Order: sequence, then structure tokens, then C-alpha cells
Amino acid sequence: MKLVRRHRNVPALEARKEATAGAATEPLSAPDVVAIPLRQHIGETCEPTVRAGDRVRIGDLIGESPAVVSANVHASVSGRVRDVGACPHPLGGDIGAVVIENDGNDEWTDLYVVPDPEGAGSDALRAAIRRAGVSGMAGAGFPAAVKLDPPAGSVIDTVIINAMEGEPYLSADHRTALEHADAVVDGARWIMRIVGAPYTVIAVESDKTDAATALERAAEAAGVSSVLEVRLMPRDYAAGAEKILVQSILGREIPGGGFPHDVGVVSQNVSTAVAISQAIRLGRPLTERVITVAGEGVQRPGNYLVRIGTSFDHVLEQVGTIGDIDRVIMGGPMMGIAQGDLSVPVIKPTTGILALSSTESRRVPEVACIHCAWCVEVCPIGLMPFFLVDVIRSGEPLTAEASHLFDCFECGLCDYVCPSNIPLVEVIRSGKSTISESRR
Amino acid sequence: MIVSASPHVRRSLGKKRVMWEVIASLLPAAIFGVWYFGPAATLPQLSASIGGAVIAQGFVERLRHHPVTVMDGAPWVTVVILGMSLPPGLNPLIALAGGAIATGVVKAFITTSTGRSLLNPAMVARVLIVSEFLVPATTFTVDGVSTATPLASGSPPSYLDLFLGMRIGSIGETTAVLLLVGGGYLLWRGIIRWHLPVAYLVGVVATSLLLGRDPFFDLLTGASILTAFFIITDPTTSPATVPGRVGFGFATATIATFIRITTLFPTGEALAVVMGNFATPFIDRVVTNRVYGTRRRAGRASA
Repeated sequence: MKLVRRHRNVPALEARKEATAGAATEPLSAPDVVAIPLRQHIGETCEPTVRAGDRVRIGDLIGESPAVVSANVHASVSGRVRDVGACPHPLGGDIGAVVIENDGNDEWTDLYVVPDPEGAGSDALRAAIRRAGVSGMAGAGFPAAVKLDPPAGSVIDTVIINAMEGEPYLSADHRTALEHADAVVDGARWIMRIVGAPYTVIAVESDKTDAATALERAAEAAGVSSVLEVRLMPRDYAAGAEKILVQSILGREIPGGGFPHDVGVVSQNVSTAVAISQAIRLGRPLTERVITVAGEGVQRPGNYLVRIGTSFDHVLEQVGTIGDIDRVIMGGPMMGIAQGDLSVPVIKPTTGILALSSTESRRVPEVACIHCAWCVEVCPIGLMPFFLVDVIRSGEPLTAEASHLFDCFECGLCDYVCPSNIPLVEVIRSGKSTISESRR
Repeated sequence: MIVSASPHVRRSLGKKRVMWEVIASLLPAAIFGVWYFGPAATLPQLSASIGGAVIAQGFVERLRHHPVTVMDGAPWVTVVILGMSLPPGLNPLIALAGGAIATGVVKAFITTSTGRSLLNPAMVARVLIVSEFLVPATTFTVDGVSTATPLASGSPPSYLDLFLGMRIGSIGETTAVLLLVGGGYLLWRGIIRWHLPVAYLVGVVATSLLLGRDPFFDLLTGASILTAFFIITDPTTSPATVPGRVGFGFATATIATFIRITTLFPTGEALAVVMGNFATPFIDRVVTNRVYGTRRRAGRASA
């Protein structure tokens, strides 16, 4: 294990992982009804392939799209399709969804496994990943098969498996890396094979030594420790962001608006690597995932294996809630999305469900900016957040754009440290959408 | 349930808390000044400048129908620093006027296009006090003996006396050791960062050496330490980036030390800080951080 030293003035976030970091993954009982959105990824919405009344088994295809950038969706329970309609989407708005009544039998579909995967070519392996509907499980949800198909001519020399999970509260990736280290290493091997990369770095935060050790053992057992390195990274929240991770591991910067493959890198989240391994070895579609359920409003915080399409309500009912809940968030508290309707379903990129009390969220009224520049000090990409907010609020978003507004990936650190409680991310986001809408 | 934009958590170090911590870090030096120069020569001045400033800020905010923010601590920091930079025995009415000018005029009306103070209010008030009331504001009293400036005194005090603060000077500027304790606290808390103080102190030493003087003497006299840790670190009127801060600190120190040494104007620090403040918006526009993934620096076309 090689340790990378911290190199930036980033405040230590309160990690608040005590309740979940040591909690082994437990399966959560499946609900009576699941609503599976036909788009859980970046890209085209799938067309339903089933109709009301159809019988489905776990892993049956229920939606697909001819578009390249898309990811198949599959039934996560066995039972009868009640309806092909719509449900609220945790990212906002409504989305077409297949609603399935669970018969409780947990019957599986006949899994299709790639014949002789070791001898298969990249295209066949990518097809297996695509068939299984694997898309990014860390938040953005980019279809994995597309990410593993960099444009012709790009030379990928490094695969990065991201097990950083800097968001407070969350430990689903940590537990997955620890409990499924073999599958992580196996997934990394397939990714290397597919993109033709000679080397993999698995990035783990320096305080997760248990996961790092498990991964190193798995690499040795698989006989790949010469081409697969587990690297301990600083325990900084922003260090796990793709841009920053590529920079600190390889010293390369992804150009603005560019992709990791522009600098010879393909990166995948650690849970996605497990899903890739399962797709190729077992032919298993992505129908369930590990999520962290935590926050002061949760009675039994922990990491739970949950069927895709399970409503947040059902999850919170199973783990129990206590006290006044200020807000419910999908994902971590820094970049996650507050939910107004708890009938939203768990989707592939749902890393966690947090029920926070008002003392935890600590939202207080905004006061005037004092130009302390803490936002400048913590910005991982060197922006001047206070200046962006100044000009957006005074109606000059184009000035903000000239100052790299669109390079901001909304990590939230500026907002977190602001002593004047200015909602910087909200203003920056509104500036971006003002510009985007004016160009439509 | 609340549906608001991310992030959903926030650090507990808010503006009000920061301001009161700054005041706390100034207290040891202020208390030393009260003890050393005697309460009669210091407490009326300190309380008059604080009273003048707090009342003026509340009054202006009320007149402009702004929320009254007196208790968020910011005006208190301004005037505690102003009070500490006044000579002991100054007519309290002058101190009162100084405090009122600092927050009632400078802070409220001399602002940038985005509404933040352009100039360090305490230092503007200090400069105005010097120019309007030159004789009383520059007469420093110790044990009833008056001299023009601390640098003009007869036999030089020992380094130890200077370090401890046993010298003539403004109420809160003399005790290097306690100011360093307060400054160290702010650094430890992460409220200020080291670039501005270090650049300032290096600037003082460099200028002193250039003029063939004893740099230790110039560091320990005047308001060098107070300025380095508490005055140029005023966030509102100093630049936002590290290179900007280093340049600002060094340049301010050079001007301040040069004025102190070569002219009869006694509070060179205050004048230099105010001069530097005029450059801050310009520095912020020109000296920006390199943005990830770009070779050039982030352009800031217009503000």
C-alpha cells in the first residue's frame, strides 16, 4: 500500500460514519410492490418490454433502448406487472416506470453467461455488461458499457477503481470493498481487459485499512498484484472526485468539459466494478445494491442490500425512524438530493438514504459575505466561488462563465465552510441553468 | 421536510463565532495595555471608541433599513482594534469620534460594487484621527512623561522589554508576546492563514535591512505585530488568493516601515494598510488561482 499525502487546504469534514462503517451488509426484506424507473442512468430512457399483467422473474428484462448511451433495466422481484406507468424520480420530476407486485417467491430468470469469458473479446464482454444494465453506482450513473468503450484512438494506460467515498455518513462502498474484495479485483481485471489497460490503481481512503488489506489479499489470490495496486489516499472529502483523483494519482488534469479517457484513464466506482464482475462471471443483471441508511432520524443505521425499485418509505419503515426529521436525502449530505416525496424508489446510483435531524443539517440564515475567501481556499479546482456568486446575483452569469463557472462540479465544500451561510452551490447551479436555458 | 439544494450539512464555525474569537484573541494584549498604561489612561479611550462605533453602526443600519447586525461581532472587532491602536491618554471624545467614523462612515459607505468595505475602517479612522488631531493623537504618555513617538524616545529599551511590551506606544500594540499568542490562536483555529502575517513580517525585516537598520527593533516597535496578525488579516479588505496575499502583505509592510522610519508621520502602518486596501479589488481581479484543467489563470473579465 502506497500512501499519497494530502496536498490541499481542505477542512476535515465530520465523517459521521461511526454508526455504519462497522455494520456488515444485511439484506432488507423486499417490499410488496416495486416501481422500477425506466431511466436510472445518464442517457436515453428505456422503452418498456413488458405489459401490465405479464409475469416476471428476478433479472427479466423489463426495459431497453436502441440508443448507445442507455442502460437496460430488469425486474428486481418475481411476480406480476401491475402497471407500466410513472413514478416520482429521486432526481426530480416523474419518470416512466414498471410497477411489479412481488409474489415473494424470488424466482430468478435463466441467467445468460458469456461462454468462455477468458477467451472472449472486448465487444462480447461489453455486451455482457450492457445486457446486465450496469451503470455507474456512485451518483452520476453513466452506463458502464459506454464508459468502457473510449473513442477509437484513445490509449488507456490506467484503470482507476474509486473506493474513496468521501461523503459523510456513507459506507456502502467501504463495506462492498471489504466484503466483496474478490469481485472488486475481478471487475478491475475485466475492465483492464476490455480497455486494454496494463495497470489498475484501486484508490482507498487512508483510514479504511481493513478494506485496503482485503483488496490487497484478493489481488494476491488472483495473481494480479503486479498490475493492480491498492493506493491509500488522503482522507479528504474532495479527493475522491474523479477529476481530483486522476490528478493526485497520475498528475494529469482532465481538460474542462473532457473525460478521463482524454488523459488515458478509465475510472469506475468500486460497487460498479463488483456489478461488472457479476455481469460477466454470473450473467447477473443489476437488480439490487448496497445502500447506507443513516442519520439521527434512523433507528437502526447500517448498510442494507436493497432491491432496485424499493420505495424510500419502505426502507425507512424497515429500519425505523425517530424524532423530527428535517430532511431525507438520496446520497451523501454534500452532493445528495433532498426528497419531498418518499414514495421515490431506490435506483442504481442510490448510494444511501439519510434522514437528518435539524441539529445535524445546521442550516442557518444567510448573512453578508465578508470576503474571507475560505471558499477560495477549499475549492478543489481553484475557482473563486464568492466571485461567481457575486456576479450571478448581480445578473451577470456570463462573467461567471468566463471565470470557469462550468468547471464547478458542485462538491459543496465552499458552501460547507462559508461562515456567512451563503448557499453558494444553489446560486452557482442557478447561474449554470440561466446560461443553459438562454442558449436553448 | 425541507427540500433545499445541497450541501445539507454545514461547518459550525459561523461569522459571529469567528468575530468573537478574534476579539478574544485580542484581549490579552488589550488587558496588558490597560495594566501597563493604567486604567485611567486607557479604559475611557477603549470604551469611547467601542461605544461610538457600535452606536454609529446600529444608527446607520436603522436609517438604511438594513438588519441591525451590531451583535454579530464585526463592529466590535473593528473598534477593539481601533481602540488598541490609539495612544493612552487620548481625549476620549476623539476616540468616540474615531469609532463613529470607522463604522458609521467608512464601513457603511466606502464600499466596493458588491457592498463590502473597501477600506479597513479602523485604519481609516486612525489615519483621520492623526491628521485631524495631530498633536494629541501622536503624544504617547508613560508615567506622566510625554514623548512624540515611541521611535523618538531617548535611551532604547532592551529587546526583552520590547518583546514583553514595556515601552511607550499605543494601548494595545506594545506587547509582542501577547499579540503573538493571540495571532497563534487564530492560526491554530484556522481563522487566519499564515501567508499574510509572514509576508508582512518579512516585508518589515527586508525594508529595515535595506535602510541599514536593526530589523528586530523595527519588528518589535510600532504596530508591526498587531498589523501583521490582526489588521492586514481583515478578510474584507485583503486579497483572496495566496499569491495575492503574499504580495499585499509584503508591499504593505514595505510602505508602512518606510513611512515609519523616514517621515514624521507616526502611524505608518495605518496609512500603508489603507493604501494597500485600494489595491485589493484590483489584486483580486488580476491574481487568481489556476483552474484545474486549464493552463492559463482564470480570467475575470469585469466585476
